Amino acid sequence: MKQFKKVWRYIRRYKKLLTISIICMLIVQALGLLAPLIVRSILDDQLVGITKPWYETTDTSGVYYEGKYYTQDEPSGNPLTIVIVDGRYLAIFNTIENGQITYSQDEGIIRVTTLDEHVYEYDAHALTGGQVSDFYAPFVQPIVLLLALLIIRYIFHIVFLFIQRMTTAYITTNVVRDARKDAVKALQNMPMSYFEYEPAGKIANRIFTDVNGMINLFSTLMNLVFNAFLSVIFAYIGMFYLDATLALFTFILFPLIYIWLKVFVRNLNEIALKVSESASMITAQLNEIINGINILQIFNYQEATEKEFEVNSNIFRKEQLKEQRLHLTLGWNLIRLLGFLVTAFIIAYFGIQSLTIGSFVLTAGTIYAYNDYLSRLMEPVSVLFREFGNLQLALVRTDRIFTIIDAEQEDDSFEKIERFKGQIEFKNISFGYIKESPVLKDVSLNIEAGQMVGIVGHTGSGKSTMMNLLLRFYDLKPTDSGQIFVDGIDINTYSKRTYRYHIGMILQDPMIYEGTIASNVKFGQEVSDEKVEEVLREIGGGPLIDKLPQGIHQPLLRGGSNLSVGEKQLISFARAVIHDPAILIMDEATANIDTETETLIQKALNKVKKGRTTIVIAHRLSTIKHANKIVVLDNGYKVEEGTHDELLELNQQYAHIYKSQMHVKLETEHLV
Amino acid sequence: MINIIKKTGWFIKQEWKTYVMMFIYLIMIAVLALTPAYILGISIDIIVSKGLNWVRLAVIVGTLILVPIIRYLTSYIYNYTSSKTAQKLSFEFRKIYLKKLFEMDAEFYEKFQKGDLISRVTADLDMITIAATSVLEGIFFNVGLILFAIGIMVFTISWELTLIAVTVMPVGITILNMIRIKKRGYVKIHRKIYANMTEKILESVEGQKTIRAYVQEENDLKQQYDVIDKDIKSWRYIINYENKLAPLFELVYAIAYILSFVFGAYFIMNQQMTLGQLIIFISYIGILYGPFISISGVFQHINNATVAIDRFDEIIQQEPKVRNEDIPEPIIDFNEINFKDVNFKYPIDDRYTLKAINLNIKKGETIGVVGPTGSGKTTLVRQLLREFNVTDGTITIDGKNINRYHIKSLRKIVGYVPQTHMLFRRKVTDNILIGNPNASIDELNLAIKIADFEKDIGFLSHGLQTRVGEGGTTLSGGQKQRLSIARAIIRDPEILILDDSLSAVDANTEETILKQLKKYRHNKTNIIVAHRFSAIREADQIIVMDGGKIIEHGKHDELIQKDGWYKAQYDQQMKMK
Repeated sequence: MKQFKKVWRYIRRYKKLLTISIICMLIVQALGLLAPLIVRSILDDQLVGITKPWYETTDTSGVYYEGKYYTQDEPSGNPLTIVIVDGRYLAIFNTIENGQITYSQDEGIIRVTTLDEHVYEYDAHALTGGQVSDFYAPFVQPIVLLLALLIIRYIFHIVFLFIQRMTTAYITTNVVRDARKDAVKALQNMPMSYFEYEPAGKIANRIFTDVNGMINLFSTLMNLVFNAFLSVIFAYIGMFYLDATLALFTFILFPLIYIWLKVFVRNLNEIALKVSESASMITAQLNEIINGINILQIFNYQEATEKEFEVNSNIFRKEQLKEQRLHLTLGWNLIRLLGFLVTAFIIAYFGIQSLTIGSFVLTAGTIYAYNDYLSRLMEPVSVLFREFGNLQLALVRTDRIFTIIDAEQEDDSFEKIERFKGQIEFKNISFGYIKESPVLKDVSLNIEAGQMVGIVGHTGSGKSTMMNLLLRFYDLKPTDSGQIFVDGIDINTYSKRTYRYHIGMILQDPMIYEGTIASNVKFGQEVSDEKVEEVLREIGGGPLIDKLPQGIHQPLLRGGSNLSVGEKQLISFARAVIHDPAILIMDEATANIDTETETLIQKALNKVKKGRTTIVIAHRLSTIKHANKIVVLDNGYKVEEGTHDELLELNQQYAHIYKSQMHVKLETEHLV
Repeated sequence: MINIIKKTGWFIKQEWKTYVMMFIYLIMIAVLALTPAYILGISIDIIVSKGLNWVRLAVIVGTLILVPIIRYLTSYIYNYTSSKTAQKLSFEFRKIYLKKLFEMDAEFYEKFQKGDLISRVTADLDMITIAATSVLEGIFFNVGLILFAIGIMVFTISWELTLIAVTVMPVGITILNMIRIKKRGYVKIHRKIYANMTEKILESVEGQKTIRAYVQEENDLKQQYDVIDKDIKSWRYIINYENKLAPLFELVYAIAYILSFVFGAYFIMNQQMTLGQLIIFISYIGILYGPFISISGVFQHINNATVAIDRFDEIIQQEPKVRNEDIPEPIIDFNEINFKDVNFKYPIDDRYTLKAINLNIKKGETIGVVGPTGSGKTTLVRQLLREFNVTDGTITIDGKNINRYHIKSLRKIVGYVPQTHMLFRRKVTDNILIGNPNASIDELNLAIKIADFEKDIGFLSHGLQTRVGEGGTTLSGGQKQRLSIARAIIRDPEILILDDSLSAVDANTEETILKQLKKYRHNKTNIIVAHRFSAIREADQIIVMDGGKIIEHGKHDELIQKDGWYKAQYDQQMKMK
């Protein structure tokens, strides 16, 4: 799958760790294989080992019973058999047939019924506690050894599992870090158009959530492919070792599980989608109700709203219950049922064998071990069911994050060039964001160095587009036409970053970083705090600094939420002065600002425009009344050009806009 | 815990039969969970004793098949009932919550943020639902299971072995869980670090233009890398902590397991135990491990749920200041409204927004309200909607205090067109019908005509059936205003309030709407707040507000004679034309 390949690009960097992790996983699985075998040996060979035939011996190191010595090592002397019946130990001075044993305490005999219905009777002597202990004596040492083995196995298991977890965690966190860094880096060099189509929150969210989705793919891979697969393999090794026929039997399960999984996942995806849809419906509706509560109350629209809400609320409840029902019928509940049925299956299989095949000896250890292995086989099934649903989501998210990481990148080279003089020429520019829907139509404009120019026009007239082109947020495509020159040189001659070094911009809603006023003004430039304060005061920021207890070191919140629009504008003006661009582009705030702020900005602008070419996209004409030149755009065409007085004289669009604004202005002038 | 039971008491009382049933099922499941291992032990003893025959085999296998199937079914019934009950609870809670939202007054909405209000009925409610399903199970099932298992171990196997092996687990796990829970405090710090990262990245994405324009890509990238590194470091700390704790949990289990084996073997050799019993014992150690761990997890759930239910309940306990008197009077019409020395202050404000207002409105009058922004015009006209109680003074309608009237019935006679348009994500017609859901087609068409919305229909992609985006995104400002006007007019209200509702329409449209109002709202009261004087020139009385006071009052012709604000502003507006 192509997504795995992409994720592999990141994981590859940690090959060594990955190797360690996989080796540890192998060891852990192998140790898992060992555990049931050790237990089986303790049960069958030692604890039940006492029931294997004993033989009389002369060797005094044997077990002493009724005046004679017995051992299990040399089958030479008279035999002795010990049977355990319902916790009682009985000694029989003979070997006994293989079959079902019944014990009659009154008669002191046991009866063995073989498969061909022959009944054999033997005299049985009950052993006392001390005698049983004597017979167990030779087993103590091996049991201790096996138990020690069991303990060692456990310690190894814990240690290797620990290493495996630590290495995997290390890989995971590193990959997430690398991918996030690559994603934010890629964002920096993506064409500006990307940011226009997608809301910032959505883009940022990809960098957190979708990277996590990608790492889920990795852990799913590890869980599913390595761990689950390995545990199946190892369980089968154990099963084939214990009983190959039964192991072969279990292969029937695979196609069944496959079909079951498919049905389950398909249903789950469908329901999960509906659940999340209905959940977001609820949120959306609540959002709307709370936004409009006022109107809904005033219009007495409560009952109808409640009814509508109840419909969605009910859908939400029903879908959630459906999801629950799926899990309860085909999900974990069924998996658990199968897990338990395994025991029945094993006992039935071995029980039937021992009741039909004469030579078959059924032991407790085999049942225990087999039960253990087959349960291990069930575990990957539950992993499969859990992870398969996640897998799809993880794949989608991986795709999404790589659309950012592998997105188109712009040239990010940078070299220092001499400051521009600031002469700008737009030559016959026709431009559209999308083909064949031009936003600018054959616009030509010449701006002399050091001048201030205002651009006026309705929303959609192309003002912002001119700014976007001049800042090279967008480049002219082959389908567009025209050229832009700065100081007579086509701006495409430089790389974007080189070119922008001498250009500055002030946005409608200026970007304010979390930090201090000083750090926001400096914005990467190495200047002293004194300089910052000086500049701020010069452009009229004195009252702002004096008002704040910490002056220019006053902490600012993200987005400058503790500042007013005017104050934010001031900071961005100071930022522009510090960076001293040859060309400054200002997008005036549309928001209604009070007269005080307006005067403040006016004053600041007068200071800032000195020594550079300034272009103002104006919404309030008062800002540009004194500009060297005013350009009026309408529907992508340049319709008027001249000074304020000239354009008033002309008495066309500009004059019209000016009058209508004065009309509003007069009304609002008295507010404050 | 008691807190939760108290606050959901009504529900538990209502559903007590279900809860009793669920309790019984849980006990059944606990017993069923312990049965298979017990049977396995018995069969192993039979095998060791070589006592297996067809009958015994059939019984063993039969039970081993039957018990899990019964457990599957009881699990299904229990879990389904439990989810159903929990869903019912959250459904009822949502219903109650919405009712509360409608009951509450403007003061409430100033106090609580929208996002907060939503999360209380979604995320918090989810927490309550989870607790409602899992706490019962967590406590009764786990405790039941532990008690049964230990009971079986003590009474049928060996109390000595139980004492040796089982004490290790609860003690060890409790200690480890205490360490783990203590560490949860760090999660809060981590959340802050994480939030710091998300906000920084969001800030950078939002600020792309500025960053690029100032060629600050490298600096910004460095800052972003920095917050990412910090987050990863903190995250890794948490993961490693969990990873380091996990072997200790495993160790506790291993110790219990090994102890059982060691002593089990010893007891077998001393004939105090059978092999089957050892198997049962070891299986139970495995079964008990989960409940011991999840019992301490239950307390976390309870904690979360307690916080959540307190947050939810905080809203439910709010009482609106604006509410009906015990026996409110209905109102269907009026003759006269009087404001007497009315002062008004918003609950969060220190200053008065309205000061010493005296006003008389007669049925059928058209009243114009003008004045600078912030002078209290909106606050004045909205007093008739009774969103707040006046701070001092009285408003009377036909001689009776406005508080005497039934709020809903009062609002029924008022049609309000707000300053900021609030439209809903539904069809244009449905938006208008919010004003009067029972309106006929003719009434709908008339409202559209009066609001001069007819001409817009052609421009909408699906005409009147066009869906309006949230907050009205698909329509222009003027269209939204006219739609809001239509919504108020379809009520055919006794009092129509246009709160600066003609600001986004051009002069011609304004004229049309005013003309239609005159024609169709004969003998009904209109209150028009406006910036443009053309809208109110012909009003029966004009109120000029400034700083919360009425500074001038009279007809246009009278006001124009006085040398005041009205005259000055009027002259200036005329000059511009």
